[in-house]
Amino acid sequence: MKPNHGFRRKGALLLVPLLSLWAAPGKVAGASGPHGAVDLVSEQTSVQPARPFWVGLRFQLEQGWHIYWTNPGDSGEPPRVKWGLPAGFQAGPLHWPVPRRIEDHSLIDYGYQGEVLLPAEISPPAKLAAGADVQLNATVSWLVCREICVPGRAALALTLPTGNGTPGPASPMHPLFAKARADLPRPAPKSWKVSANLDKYRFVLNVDTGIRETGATFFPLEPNQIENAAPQKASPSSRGVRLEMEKSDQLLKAPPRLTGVLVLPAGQGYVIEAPIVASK
Amino acid sequence: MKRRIVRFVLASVVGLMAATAWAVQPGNPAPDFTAQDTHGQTHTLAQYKGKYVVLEWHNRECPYTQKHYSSGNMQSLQREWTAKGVVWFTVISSAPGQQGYMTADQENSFLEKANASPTAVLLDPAGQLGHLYGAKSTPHMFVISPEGVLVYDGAIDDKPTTDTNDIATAHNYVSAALQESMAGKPVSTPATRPYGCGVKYAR
Repeated sequence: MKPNHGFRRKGALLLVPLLSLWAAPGKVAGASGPHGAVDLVSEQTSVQPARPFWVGLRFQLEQGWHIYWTNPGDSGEPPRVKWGLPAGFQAGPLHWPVPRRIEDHSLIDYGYQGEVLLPAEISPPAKLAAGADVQLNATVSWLVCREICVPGRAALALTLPTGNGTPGPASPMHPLFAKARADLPRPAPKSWKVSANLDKYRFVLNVDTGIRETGATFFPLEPNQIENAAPQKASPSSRGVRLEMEKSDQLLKAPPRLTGVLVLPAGQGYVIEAPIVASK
Repeated sequence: MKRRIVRFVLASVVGLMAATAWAVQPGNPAPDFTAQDTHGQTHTLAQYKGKYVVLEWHNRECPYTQKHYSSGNMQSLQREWTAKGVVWFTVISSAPGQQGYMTADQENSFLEKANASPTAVLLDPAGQLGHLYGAKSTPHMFVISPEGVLVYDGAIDDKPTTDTNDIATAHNYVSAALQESMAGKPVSTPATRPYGCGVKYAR
């Protein structure tokens, strides 16, 4: 990705982001970090006892800057969150929309540019004092890079009222969550047949989707399996697609399977697990 | 000068041949190289046969490199292991104009300020040594045995963060590889995903 040369870099040497907090309707607190902003947003406007609901870390990044996917690729570090929740509340893991391949000095990273929401599910306890506010805290650390990398850290808080059991209107954030859900990889359909061969130099991933696919890109969930920077060679087959990927030099022995996200040309991602047959 | 050029070209060719004949990975011979340090001296891997060699990819402005330097961690590793006869090369593969690029004078001045004591700093602005080894991030660590075999390739430790507080509780893969090899044992973790900023090769 070529940087926007007209853009003035702010605080490129700052290691600790300037933390400026603001209050928006719904008492959402966000922070401006290096080269972007991050805030904690909720899909619902109130918390109902025992009803899980979705929150998310929304990153809005300056032009050309990127953050990382759960497997960051050749370098970098994915965002991490430490939750501080009231008693009885639980948080599920962060969910990762389909990433992009991002070029970085002849290496390849997996990540996101522009705006991205990383959703997580919050489960409230069955017993909640009605009328009380609930405060959810999230300490977020991340790395944002363009031609240089800057770590970010923010302590975010989101305060929501407790409801009486009937969910209120969805928050204005709902379209953001709907888009994030659409961008999340789905489990591969049960009708798909997926397998992989591994020889001395490369993986060959065979995906039978039932119809001819014009292309595909694979994002591995495990590091050190494929050579991230090597171009992937997709060949359509009558019932799917065949994808050749160079093996990583750091792969010392054949893994039992290749797991990752297969993205088809329309942009939809599927989580696949391909058992591996090693051949020399 | 001409002989040096010929040796350089031969070493590069040998290095390239080694890389294509065997992958650069633990268990395989480490590719030979020729590189110049910040005092104008030339080093080859071959001349250090019989010694352990550590390669440390470096960018002083990368927050992950800074984690290990501002805490003194990298410097103490350099002192500890060079005292035991290990040859420690810090390698800078940042291209001119890219972050981390240093002239010899700048780097020597940095070494003094940081109280760092590698055996030498190899300047690799064309990225040749970096690409030869497949260096991906700063830091990215390689450990080579006295027989010239690569025994470790990957992260400096198991806490892939920029937080200096993580150093005390981290498991250091480089020290482990050196300790195990010196004790005649196989390296228990020979390869890990290196963490850091991407090496700033030419764009």
